[in-house]
Amino acid sequence: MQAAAQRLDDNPCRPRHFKPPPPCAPVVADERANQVLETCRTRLVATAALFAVVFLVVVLRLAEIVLVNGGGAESHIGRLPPAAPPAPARADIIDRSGTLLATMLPKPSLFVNSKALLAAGQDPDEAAHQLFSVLPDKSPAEIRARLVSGKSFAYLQRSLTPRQQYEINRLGIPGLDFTSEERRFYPYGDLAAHVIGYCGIDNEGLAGVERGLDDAVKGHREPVQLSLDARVQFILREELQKVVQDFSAKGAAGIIMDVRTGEIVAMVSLPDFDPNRPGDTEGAKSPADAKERRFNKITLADYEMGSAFKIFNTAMALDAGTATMTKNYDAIHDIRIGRFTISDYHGKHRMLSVPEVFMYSSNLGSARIAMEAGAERQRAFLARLGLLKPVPIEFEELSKPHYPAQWREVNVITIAYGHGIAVSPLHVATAVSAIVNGGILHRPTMLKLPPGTLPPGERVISERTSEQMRKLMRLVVEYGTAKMAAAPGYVVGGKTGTAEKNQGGHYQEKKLLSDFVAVFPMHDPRYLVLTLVDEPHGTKQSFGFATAGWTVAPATSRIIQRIAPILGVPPVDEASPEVTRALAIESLQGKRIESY
Amino acid sequence: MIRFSSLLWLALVAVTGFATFKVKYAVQDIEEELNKVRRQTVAEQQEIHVLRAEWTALNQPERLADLNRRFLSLAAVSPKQLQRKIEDIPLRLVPEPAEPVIAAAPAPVPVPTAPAEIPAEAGPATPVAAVPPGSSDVVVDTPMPVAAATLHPALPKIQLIATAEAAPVAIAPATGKATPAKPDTRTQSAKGRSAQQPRSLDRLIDAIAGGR
Repeated sequence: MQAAAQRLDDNPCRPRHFKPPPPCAPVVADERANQVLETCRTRLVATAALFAVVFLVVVLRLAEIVLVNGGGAESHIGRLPPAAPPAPARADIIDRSGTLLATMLPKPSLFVNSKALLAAGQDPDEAAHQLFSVLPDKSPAEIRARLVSGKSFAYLQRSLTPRQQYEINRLGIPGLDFTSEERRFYPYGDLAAHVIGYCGIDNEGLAGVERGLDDAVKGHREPVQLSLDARVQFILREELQKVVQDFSAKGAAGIIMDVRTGEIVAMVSLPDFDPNRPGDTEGAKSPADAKERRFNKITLADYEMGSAFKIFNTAMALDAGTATMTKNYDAIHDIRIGRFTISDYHGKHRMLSVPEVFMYSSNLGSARIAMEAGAERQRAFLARLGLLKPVPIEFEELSKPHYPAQWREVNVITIAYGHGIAVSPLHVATAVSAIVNGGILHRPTMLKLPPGTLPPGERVISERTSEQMRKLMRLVVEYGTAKMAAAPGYVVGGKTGTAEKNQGGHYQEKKLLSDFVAVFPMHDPRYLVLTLVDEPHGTKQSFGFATAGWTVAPATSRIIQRIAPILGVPPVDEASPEVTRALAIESLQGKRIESY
Repeated sequence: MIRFSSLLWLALVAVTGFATFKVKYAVQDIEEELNKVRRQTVAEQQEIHVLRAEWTALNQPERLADLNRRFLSLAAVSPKQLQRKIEDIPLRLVPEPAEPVIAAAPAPVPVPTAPAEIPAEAGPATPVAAVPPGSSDVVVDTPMPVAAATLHPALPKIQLIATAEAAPVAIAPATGKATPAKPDTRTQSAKGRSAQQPRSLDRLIDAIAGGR
């Protein structure tokens, strides 16, 4: 029996699951069978242990996932699409009240995969004709050339409008596709063109703060907040446009600065351009004119500012103590030096005290004040005010001042009344701010400072000199050359300047630069308004005059009346004791002030 | 014969498996929804961005000035209109809770019994006393809605105004002359309103504060 079973088992053709029938007789547990059973048990235990280990691992992992840390659920969430749009190529630029001045807008560009187009059996002539109806800038031949170029990527048109994109999609031409690009957009157009500047087609800053603050703007998400106020900017620009129109001038410029902090609230240079189309010649007569429009007269120009420099001249002499408010200077005799003769434009032909020299804008008096102080002192003072080096500000387009290499006596005399030295209007605004604000020179800035902060500055003149200068500047508007700049309630003070433009080494009598630097309110200066007009022509209303007192001074009056409420400067009673006490000049008390 | 325990385990496996798949699909659905919402959020944000740019472009000062010239002709503010800073303007004086008025009011007015919820401070039905003297008709009509107003502290002001507005309408049939009577009572009630409202409101606020 046993042998039969053994035989059956040895049979190679036996099906795998066929078990030999059990022996009829109970198996006697002999020694060998016991051994086999033992082996089986051992193997079973080993297998069970193995499974137990595997299950333990599974259980542990489960416990970790469920109980310990959620088992890497974060990595799963990381695969979700982001909840915020991707960072723009350039951050927004906003003004001091948060108005958007520059932002990125999606601008799709159209390109053609010529291989795919031709492979799809599209007739290029027909496609070019269809595309021409949507893209009128390009000629059909030009479009066709790109369609059959055989390249797998060729731009057909960059910066499509949404409508154009829709139309092209509707044409259903194979092989065309869009790249999603962003383009810089300036919602206010030409309002602050020179301040903001513009960008190139690859979103690199090319001018203005776009260039000067490129590092803060490029690739950042947080907007950059400027100190500019769009409303004030608009008012300044509108009034300057009026001046240009009224006096058929070549151009004009203006800047409004917070004298306490150096923040620039408005900056205008006319004529200007649309930063959305900086290279556009629309409105410009020629490429040269377009270039002229992009020129920032405030930071990049260097002008001989004329009599406005008498502010610095007088401040220098008063601060050094070489002149006092009561000292008199000869305004009778002309000064002859070399081939020059210096005389007064509005001659009084008598001895004038310092306030009178300033108020009547006497060249002779100023020249004598400067000669008395000396060349070294004059040069050091102008350097201290930062007038001999480029202004440190967030712009790349900055002018380098022009001044004589050797400071001779004739230079001392001409610089006293603002000739023979050429600086940018920004230089003058910064320096005059320091003169009136108590004597602290602040670095001008285009960035908004947190309200209430007083930036560090450098003392350039004493508090006392600053106070005297405020009184003198008020005198000019009250009785002097800038009476039309008065704005009732705002205690305006300032100094006019009218310079003949120097062209090719000759002063052109008919080509004037009239400028006016005003500060208000004079008893507690808050803002400086510098305006200038380039080559104004006298009109019937101005009795043929094109000097600062007739051109920019009245405009300044209008500007101040309009911007003061926006800037939070309350009007005051100009005859109130606190104002008159702050601005009274003792040496003139009781004297009859001869009106200019 | 399958043993009971095996059956139990099988059932448990089936239940667990079912639950697992259920949860998995639920999670998948939620995830899909989340993805959709996030994509939508981004799209909306981009849309808002474009709209903000457009809004700014529409608010160009030049354009606004032009619109003003054409439709509004508003003039610039002159310094004469700005003699003081906003901080210099004193706050409006709060009218004193005029006791005499309460005393002058017709005293024996039927006061509707205040519901139990109204705290004791609100109990004296202030609006009744506050009604201007001489219009007893109004007094009869107003207490109910005003008392109702005290019940709804959420909308005290609106309801109070509504009751004052309702007064003339209630009077009209009583006087019999609807049209001529109206302006008269209206002015009266308007006067009454200006005098009584702040005080009633104060009381109302007290009542609400006391009820908490």
